[in-house]
Amino acid sequence: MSAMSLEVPSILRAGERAWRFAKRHLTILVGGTLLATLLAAAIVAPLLTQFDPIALNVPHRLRAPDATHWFGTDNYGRDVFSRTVYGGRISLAVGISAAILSGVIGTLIGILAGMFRWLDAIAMRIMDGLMAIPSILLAVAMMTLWRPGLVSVIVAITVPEIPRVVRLVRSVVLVIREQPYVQAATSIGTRLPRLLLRHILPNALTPIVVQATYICASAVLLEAYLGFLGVGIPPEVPSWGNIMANGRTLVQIAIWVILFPGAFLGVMVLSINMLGDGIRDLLDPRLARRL
Amino acid sequence: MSAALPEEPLLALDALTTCFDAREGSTVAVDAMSYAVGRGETLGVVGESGCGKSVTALSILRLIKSPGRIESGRVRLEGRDLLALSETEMRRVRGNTISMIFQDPMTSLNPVLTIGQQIAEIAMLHQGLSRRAALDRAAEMLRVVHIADHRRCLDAYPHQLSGGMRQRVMIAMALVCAPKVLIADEPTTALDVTIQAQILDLLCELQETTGTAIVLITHDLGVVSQMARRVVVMYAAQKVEEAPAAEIFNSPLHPYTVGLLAATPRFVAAKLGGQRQPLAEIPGTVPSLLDPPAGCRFAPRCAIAVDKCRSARPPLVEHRPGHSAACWRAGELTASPAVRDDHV
Repeated sequence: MSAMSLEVPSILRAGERAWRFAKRHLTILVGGTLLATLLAAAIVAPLLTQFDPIALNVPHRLRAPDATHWFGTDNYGRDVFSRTVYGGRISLAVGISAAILSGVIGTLIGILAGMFRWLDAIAMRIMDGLMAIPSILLAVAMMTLWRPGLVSVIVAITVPEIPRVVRLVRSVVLVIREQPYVQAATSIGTRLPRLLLRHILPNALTPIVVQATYICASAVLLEAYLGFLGVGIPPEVPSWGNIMANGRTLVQIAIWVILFPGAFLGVMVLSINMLGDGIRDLLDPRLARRL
Repeated sequence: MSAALPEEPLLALDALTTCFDAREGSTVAVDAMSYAVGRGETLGVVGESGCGKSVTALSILRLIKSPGRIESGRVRLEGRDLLALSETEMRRVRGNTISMIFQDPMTSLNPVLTIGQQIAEIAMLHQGLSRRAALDRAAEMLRVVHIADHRRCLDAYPHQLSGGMRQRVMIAMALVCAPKVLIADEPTTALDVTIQAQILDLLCELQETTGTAIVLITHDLGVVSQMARRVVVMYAAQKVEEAPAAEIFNSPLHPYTVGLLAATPRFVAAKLGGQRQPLAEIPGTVPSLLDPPAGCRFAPRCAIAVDKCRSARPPLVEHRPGHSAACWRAGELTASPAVRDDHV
């Protein structure tokens, strides 16, 4: 490619460019659309359904899906569609917060561990220790310490995810810090904080963003596990895990109670992962072609 | 240009010693290195890979990272000992009074920042310019290093530029603050010959206009002959010869320098007369710095080494005015091909 001939020919209209982008990055398109739909549904949940997700309506209990109750009702007569849509709010809130929190904290620790050898030894041993415990166990253990609630669930999911980010960032930083441009920056008198923020962090960002999407997906799952095990968000709150935990006992008589939130959970995790893959391919085209 | 004035040189290294600590022991990568550069002067530092040229340069800027450390010696810039400065004071020197150009322009620029951002950063750091003023300064510097369309280059990312352009950008970055000393660490090694000539011309031209002293580190004797007034030859972490550039080429004193000159490929010799002369080489390999030879470090590879060379280290002696060499038999080996023939 010749130097600085970046302009796209003007014949190529915006529509054509969008089409080309969509063809090349189909995973982003599909994953993004699915996730955007779920996100939109969660946000405008009150507009989508007339039913209160927690109001009991015992006479209507265990109705099969029909025109009124699209996903049927559970054993207390609550509308499963309404509960599922509202549950998406919890799942997305947990997934996104956990991804951002563990991304930020993990990046901070990872960069410092990668730059300072004395800190590296301490931080990485702690991370090894955290990684030795299965994340679900660690999350359950932490949940037993606090009053269950949205915040405690987010923290309990974030902590086990942090070591993954730290390891990744540290390994990337170890490579970047030896790059000639970092030495060049030092040789012009750049201060350490600026070196970290402007020269090292931006070059480490691609894998962090990709990792964050995977963490988002796994946090959504983990929240459902916790709800299913009964140690997550209080059972009266309609999170997907809670709905399915309740539906588990009804599988043989009312499979719709567990089927629909389960399907939504699957679709959401799939769409986030697709988006993550797509972003990775977009940000690192060389890697994409190799795979 | 005033190189021979009796005043203190601009930059003077005095017995600078840098070593790297390893489990097997300490490696002295720069052994009691001394050289001086005057204002506006160009000093060539020549030697093969691994002889300590670059480590010397990094030591001047105190950029040696653990496990390396500067053990002793002094680096004086206008009489000020750089090794005694605090880290904060040292940062003010880097990029401001002493700048460095690195070998590989392909990797010495940050891939995620635009050229303008990278040049402006230095102006903001050392000259306290505002963002806008710094960007103007960056554009001005790009014009100085003859980048056509310098305004647009400001917004370009390094990957959009060719190697030669990137090295021009590196030079622009190095000269933003009009440094007194420019250390060019193999500035043309990664470039092809035509671009190399352009970059060298540019350095010469900028030196004339700015009066910056240049320490030109290279293993390319051709580059040195074009640029430098004086030349320091390094071998295995030590200085073995120092002389005005013309003398190095016409009457080298140290057998290593003689061998180095003989090993320079000559196009004419290869093309004419059908009989191709094989490229001369210096037999043997560079000694391990972990366990260097007792006497002269070049003795094991030297054609005219005697017992004394193997037992006692030759001191650096000034044989002619401004021309010193560390060799017991300095000047005895002159005909270049002899280096090879004696061993065949």
